[in-house]
Amino acid sequence: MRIKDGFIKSNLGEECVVVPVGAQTVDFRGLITLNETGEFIWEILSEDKSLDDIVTALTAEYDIDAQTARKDAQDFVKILEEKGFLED
Amino acid sequence: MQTICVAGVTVNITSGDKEYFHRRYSDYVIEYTDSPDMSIETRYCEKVEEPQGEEVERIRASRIVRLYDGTLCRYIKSSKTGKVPFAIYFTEDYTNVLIELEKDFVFQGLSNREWEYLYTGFMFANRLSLLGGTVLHSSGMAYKDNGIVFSADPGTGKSTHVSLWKERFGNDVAIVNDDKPAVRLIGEQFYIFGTPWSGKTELNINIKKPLKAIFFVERGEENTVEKMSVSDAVLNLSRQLPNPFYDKNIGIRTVKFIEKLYKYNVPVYRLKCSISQDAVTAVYNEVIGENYEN
Repeated sequence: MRIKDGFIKSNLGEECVVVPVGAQTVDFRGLITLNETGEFIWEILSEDKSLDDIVTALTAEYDIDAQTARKDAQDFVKILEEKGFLED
Repeated sequence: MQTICVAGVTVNITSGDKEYFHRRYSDYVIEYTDSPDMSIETRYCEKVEEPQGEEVERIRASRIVRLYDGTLCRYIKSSKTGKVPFAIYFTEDYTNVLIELEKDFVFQGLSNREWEYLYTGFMFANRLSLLGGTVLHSSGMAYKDNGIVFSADPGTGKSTHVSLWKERFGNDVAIVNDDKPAVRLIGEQFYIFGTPWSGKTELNINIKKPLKAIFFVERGEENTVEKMSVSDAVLNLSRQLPNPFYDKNIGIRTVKFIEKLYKYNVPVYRLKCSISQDAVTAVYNEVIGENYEN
C-alpha cells in the first residue's frame, strides 16, 4: 500500500499538514494534520510498503514494542483507508 | 488584440466579446510586446470541434487530452447530444491559451461573455501561479498604504464589509479588487494587485499595495478578530487559492505560496462580524492601530 498521488505534505513551524491537489480535490476538499508519528508513517507510505514494514520502522525509530507499534500503525492505516488516501 | 499588464504579468489578449472586454481591460493596457508572459485568445465558434489527441485524464464530465504537439486541451462533451460547448487549449506552462466557446450557447446558465470572463481569469491565475504569485478569492482593499484582503465563500459579506470601509474612510480606501486580487512576493514584501477579474461589480484599480493582513470572514453577532491556527489558516487559504482539479502542479504551487506567507509572517485572522461599522473598528484596531479617531 502507498499514499495516492496528489497529496502534498507541508511543514509549517511545528505543524504538519497535508493538502490535496489536482484531481484529489474533487472528492476531498479538507486538510489533514499529522502528529509526529503520523508524519513518520506518512513518509514511509510515500513508497509501497506493508504493515510489517511500518511496524519495523516504528520500532526502530521509537522506543516502543512491536505490539504497540502494530496497533498504532493499524489504527492510522485504517483512518487513511477510510478517507481513501491509500492505494494498493 | 490588447496587450495588458496585470500584477507584472504581460498578456497579449484577444477577446471574443471585444466591446465588453476592451473596456474591462482598458486600465491595464500597455504597449504591444512580442514577448509577453502569456497569450490568451478567445473565439466564439459556430461549432467547437472535439479535440483529437491522447486522453490524459477524465474527471467527471471534463476530459483532458494531449495533442500531437504537446498542447493540452480540456473540454466537456455532452453524453446526450455529443456537443462540445467549450474547449480550452493550453500549453503546460500556460504561456499560450486558446478558449473556444460555442457561439450564443448558454451553458450551465452562463453566456459566452461570462464563460470568457471565467476562463480568461482562471488561465491568468494559473500562469501567475507558475510565476510565483497567486490570485486570492477575496475582496482586497487598501487603507492608505495598508493592503488588507477579506476572503470568504460567496455570499458571506466580504464585499459588503469592504464597502463599509469605503463609506467610513472615503478616499483613504481604495478597492483594489472586489473578487480576485493578485498577490505576489517582491523582495521580502507581499503585495496585492488589482486585476480586471473582479466579479460582477467591476471594482478594481490597477495599483499595488503592501499586504498587511488576510482575514477570513464569518458571520457572527459579535465582532471579533482572532489569529487563526496554522492548520485553520492553511485550510481556509487552500480553499480560496487556485487548486484546479485538472492540474496538480498549480495546487503544488499554491501550497508553496502558503509556505511563503507563513515564512514571512503574514497574519491570517478569523473575523466574525455583523454587517456594521463595529466590524470595521475591530479590524482597524487590530491591523492599523488603536488610536483611531473618527
